[in-house]
Amino acid sequence: MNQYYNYEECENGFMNSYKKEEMNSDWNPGVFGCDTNKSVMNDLERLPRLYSPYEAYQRGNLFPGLYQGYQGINPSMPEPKNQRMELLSYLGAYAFAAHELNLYLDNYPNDREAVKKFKEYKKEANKAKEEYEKLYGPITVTGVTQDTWTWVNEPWPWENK
Amino acid sequence: MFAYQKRLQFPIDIKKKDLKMAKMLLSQYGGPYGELAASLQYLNQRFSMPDGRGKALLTDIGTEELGHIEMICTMVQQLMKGATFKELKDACLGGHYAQFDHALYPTDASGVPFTITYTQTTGDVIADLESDMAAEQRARATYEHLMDMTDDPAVLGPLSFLRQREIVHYARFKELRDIYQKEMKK
Repeated sequence: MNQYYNYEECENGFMNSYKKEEMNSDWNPGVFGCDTNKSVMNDLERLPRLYSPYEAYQRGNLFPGLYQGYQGINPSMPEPKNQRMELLSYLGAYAFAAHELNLYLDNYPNDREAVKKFKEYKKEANKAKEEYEKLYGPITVTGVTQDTWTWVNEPWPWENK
Repeated sequence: MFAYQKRLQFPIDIKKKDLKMAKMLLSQYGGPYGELAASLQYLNQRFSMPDGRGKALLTDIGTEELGHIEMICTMVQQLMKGATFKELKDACLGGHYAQFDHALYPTDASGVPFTITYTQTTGDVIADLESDMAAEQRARATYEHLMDMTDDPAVLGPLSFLRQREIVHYARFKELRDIYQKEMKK
C-alpha cells in the first residue's frame, strides 16, 4: 500500500480542476512548456476530441489537442501496393487507435467513454486480424490457421520485396 | 512476457538507396537518444513505479518502443539494400562493412556501439518520470534533425510518425508526473 493507492480520490480531484478550464482550449502538446491542466477537455466528459483511426494512423497521433507538425511537412503513408498491404493498413489504423487509448487509459483508468472507444477499435482490429490471417498467414503465432506452419513464410515485416 | 506481432507499427516501403541517411538513422537505433535506450529505460523503471498506472504506462510505452526499434532497423536495412562495398565506403560505412557486412548493429550515427549507460533510473518516481519526459524530448529533437536531412517521402513519412509518437509519450509521462505530484501534496 502506498500514497498513490486511491485512484478515485485523484480522479475526482482532477475532474474538478478540468471543469474550471475553458472548453477545448488549444493545448500545445508540451513540446515547448505546456500546462497539462489546459488539456482539450469539455465539461461533459474527460475524453478529448479524437481523429478518425485512419487520420490518426497517418499522423501518429489520435489526439488533435496533442498534434504538432514540423516544418509544414505533411504526414504521409506509402500507398498500399496490393490488397494484402491494404488490409494490413486497416488493421494497423484500428490497432493504433486502440493503442493510443490504451496509453491514455493507463493515466485515466476510470474514463468509461475511453474504455468504450477502446473496445470499439479493438473489436475492429481483431476482425481485420482474423481476416488477414485467413487470407495471408499469421500476425501472431497463435494465428496459424493453415495446415502447414505458415509462421515461417516470407515476407517478414521489414522486407519490401 | 511478450508476444510478437508479424507487422510493423507503421508501413515502411523505401526503394531509394541512401547510405548516408542509413548511417544517420543508426542514431535512433543504438544512439544515446535512440529507441533501444528508451525501451530499456522504461521497461527497467517500471519495476519501481508506485502503482498500477505507472507500471502500465511504462510497460506499454516501453513495449511500443520495441516496435520503433524494428521500424528504425527496417528503414536502415531498406536504405542499405544492394549497396556495394565501394558505395558503403564512400558513405563512411567502410568500418561498418568490415565489422558487420550488411548486417545491423546497434551503434550511433558515428559508429559508437550502444551502451546501457545511455539509460537513467533512480527509483524515485518523479525523477524517473522526468528523465522519461526528457528522453522523449531528446528523441523528438533527433527526429527533427533526421527529417532535416532527407526529402524522400518514403523516409519522411515514418520519421514524422515516430516524431509524433515522442510528443504523445511526452504528454502521457507529464500527465502521470503531474498526477503523482498532486497526490503527494495531499
